[in-house]
Amino acid sequence: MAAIAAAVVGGIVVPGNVAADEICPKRGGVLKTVDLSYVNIDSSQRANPIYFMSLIYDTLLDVEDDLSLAPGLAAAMPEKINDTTYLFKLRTGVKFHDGTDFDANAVKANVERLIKGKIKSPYSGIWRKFSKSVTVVDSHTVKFEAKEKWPTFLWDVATSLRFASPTAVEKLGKDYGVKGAVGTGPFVFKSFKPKKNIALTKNPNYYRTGEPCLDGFQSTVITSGSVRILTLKKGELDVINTFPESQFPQFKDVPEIIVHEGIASTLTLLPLNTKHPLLKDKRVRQAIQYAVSGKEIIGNVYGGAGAEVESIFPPWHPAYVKADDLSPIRQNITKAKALLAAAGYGPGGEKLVLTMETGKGGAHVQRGVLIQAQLKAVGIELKVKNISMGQALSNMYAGNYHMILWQMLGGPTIKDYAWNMYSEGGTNNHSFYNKEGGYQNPRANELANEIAKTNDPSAVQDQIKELQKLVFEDVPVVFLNFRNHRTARHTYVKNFKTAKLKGREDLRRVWLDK
Amino acid sequence: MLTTVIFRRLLLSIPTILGVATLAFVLGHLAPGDPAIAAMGLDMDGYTTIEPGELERVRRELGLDKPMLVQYGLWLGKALQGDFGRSFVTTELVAEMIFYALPSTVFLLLTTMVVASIVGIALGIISAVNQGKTGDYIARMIAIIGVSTPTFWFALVLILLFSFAIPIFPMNGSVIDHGPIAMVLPTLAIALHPAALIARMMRSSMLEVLSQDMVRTATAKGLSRQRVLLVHALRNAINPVLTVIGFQLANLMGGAVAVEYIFSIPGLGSLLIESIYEKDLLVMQGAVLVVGVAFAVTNLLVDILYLVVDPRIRL
Repeated sequence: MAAIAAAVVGGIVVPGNVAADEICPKRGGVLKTVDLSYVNIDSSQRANPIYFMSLIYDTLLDVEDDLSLAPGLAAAMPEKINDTTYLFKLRTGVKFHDGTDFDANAVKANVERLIKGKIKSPYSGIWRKFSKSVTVVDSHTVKFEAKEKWPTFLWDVATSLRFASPTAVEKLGKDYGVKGAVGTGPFVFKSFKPKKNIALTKNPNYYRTGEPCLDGFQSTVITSGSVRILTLKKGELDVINTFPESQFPQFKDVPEIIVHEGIASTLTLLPLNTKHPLLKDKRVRQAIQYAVSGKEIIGNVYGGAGAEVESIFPPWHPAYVKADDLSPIRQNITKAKALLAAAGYGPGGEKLVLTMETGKGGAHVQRGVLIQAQLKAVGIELKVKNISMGQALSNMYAGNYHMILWQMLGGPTIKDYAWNMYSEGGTNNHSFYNKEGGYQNPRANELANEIAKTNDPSAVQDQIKELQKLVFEDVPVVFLNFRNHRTARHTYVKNFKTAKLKGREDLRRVWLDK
Repeated sequence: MLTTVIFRRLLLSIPTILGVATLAFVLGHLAPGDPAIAAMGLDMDGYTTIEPGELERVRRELGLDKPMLVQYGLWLGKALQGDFGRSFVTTELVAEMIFYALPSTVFLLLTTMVVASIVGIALGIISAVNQGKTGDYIARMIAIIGVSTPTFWFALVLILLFSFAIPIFPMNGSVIDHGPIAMVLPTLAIALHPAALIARMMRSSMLEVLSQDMVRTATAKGLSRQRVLLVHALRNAINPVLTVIGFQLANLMGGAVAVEYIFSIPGLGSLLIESIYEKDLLVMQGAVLVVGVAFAVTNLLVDILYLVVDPRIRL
């Protein structure tokens, strides 16, 4: 438990016995950044980057740099009463930006708003599925009860439950999240135009006294990757976290800009529709896996910024276990051809024609072309369809596809990369592996369910290894690689740490040395 | 007579606009994709997943479970009263989104047409008057380059030259943030292509008129070269050019989409494209309707201009 002890230094109260000047050697300035799209700033909206939501709103638990959880608006880590009940003590004296109190009633109101679907949030479903009740014990104590064991409860609390002022929500009605947003976070809403720009000013009453270092935050949507980079180089932006790898050489020999490479956080894969007659045959799926080379994509598309897959979990994940035998997920053209021949395709047999759907834009197109060439080398004709993300998702949910070039950016819970992707109930199981009509492997399903009962990797190490082996053997998804994410910033932007998970940078202690 | 023409054309515009509205609605619903996905804020990075039944719930909330005809009737009824509903994605009022985006696009298109018309007509006249001479070759070369240069690429070149290498103009084309100067590069980027087309049309039309007897007569009467060209010849040669200008206004919308994207201009073109990508139906329908009305009005204005320039024309 990382309790925050307050210390008074030079009239400024700071958490964790850290002197105010150590947190912010310089105060003031407005951090200018950019992104692709800001849709709505309601409290539990899905946002990318996530950090800009955490500028306005706080959560009960903070996600630390190492992805561990620490008390945020909660005074301490929650008391676990039993497998389905947690008791949270809230920090006292915290106020929303509109001056109203953050208390147990506000917590209850926000959870209910999420569950009732008042926010069009992808997080509503998980709360509706698991949450039984939220009870106000006293003004600063809340009891969460789940309908069943909820292994990822703490992570879900930390990432999907942000708190908006109930008074502001009521006052702004349907315009909440567009014409105003009131949280308890380090910055206060100043202006917002969806998909265009956002401006925030410092919250002088932030509960972590001494933070933030900045006076404000501004972000503009710049859709063109080339223009984003030029704008940064010109000095009109301080930091960017989204830019195409193909533009990376533009930063060479620009000493005033630091490019920081994060870890390989994003899994790139091809879910194969195991319901589809062409892909029901395991040999065909294995042949596809043998035909592709994730390493080639890393070199040619990501400019070397990535890692080959060695586990169903990313290298940074607490549950990561390197597979003993990686040969099933490494390129082997001879094996691919032999498997296709055995399945009745290739010389003397039928020609296998498949379609791969992927998004639009540079990396999508480049990866599509490479995979097309790799499959052609074993005799598979691949048609690549560059479509909108919404359309691809829609086809995926409907099971109306062969394969989709997909990215997976999960959290540190075991569930994200195991149960969610390979069990009969998995919400990210787009290959329909173990689902009705899809390829069945009862043992893999059993293992995925068993693993989901805990969030402690050491308790299910053997099950993870076995599931990993079965998944590599059954190929419900073709593993390509893990993709690094990068940030680029001017040298005067200090204490900006590229987060382990893309977009989760903590800007509270970022300061400008200019 | 002019009033009668305007009234008749306005009446004719009503079925056109209704047709556009119906087409927008039908195409929007037929296009692949699911609006509920965008409404839930899902994307391809797979970070968030949804529980079974969630999409159906959101579809119900958005009214997408109702029969198509009912949805159409509800939308059209409200649209006629100026209520276009709320965006599925951002929850903003669609009318407000269009109202915010429209001025940028209108301003961009109008400045573009003015610049393209002036440059195109001037180039066309210079070319025609100097037929077969150096001036003609230079003007025609400029026109060929203009017609064959992609707007998207030209916009990036302009940014590199005049925003980055010689920082005179802002990279962002938002008038709200930078004032009218922000429109210079976007205008130039879009104007190149129509200016070239206008120049080519102006040249051929002018050459035809210059060979007519009335030009010889005017010259023989002792009128100055300038007066013969700009009053007599130009007035007779301009009608086909006006037609091109009218058509170009419609075509410019395509160029505007690319330029709005590159210069991050919060205009109607980018609003429309984003709404199509996201299947944000109400925004898409509202924007198409407004664009349809704008085109109907533009065509009406072009027709009126014909009558003013050449009263012999009967519409």
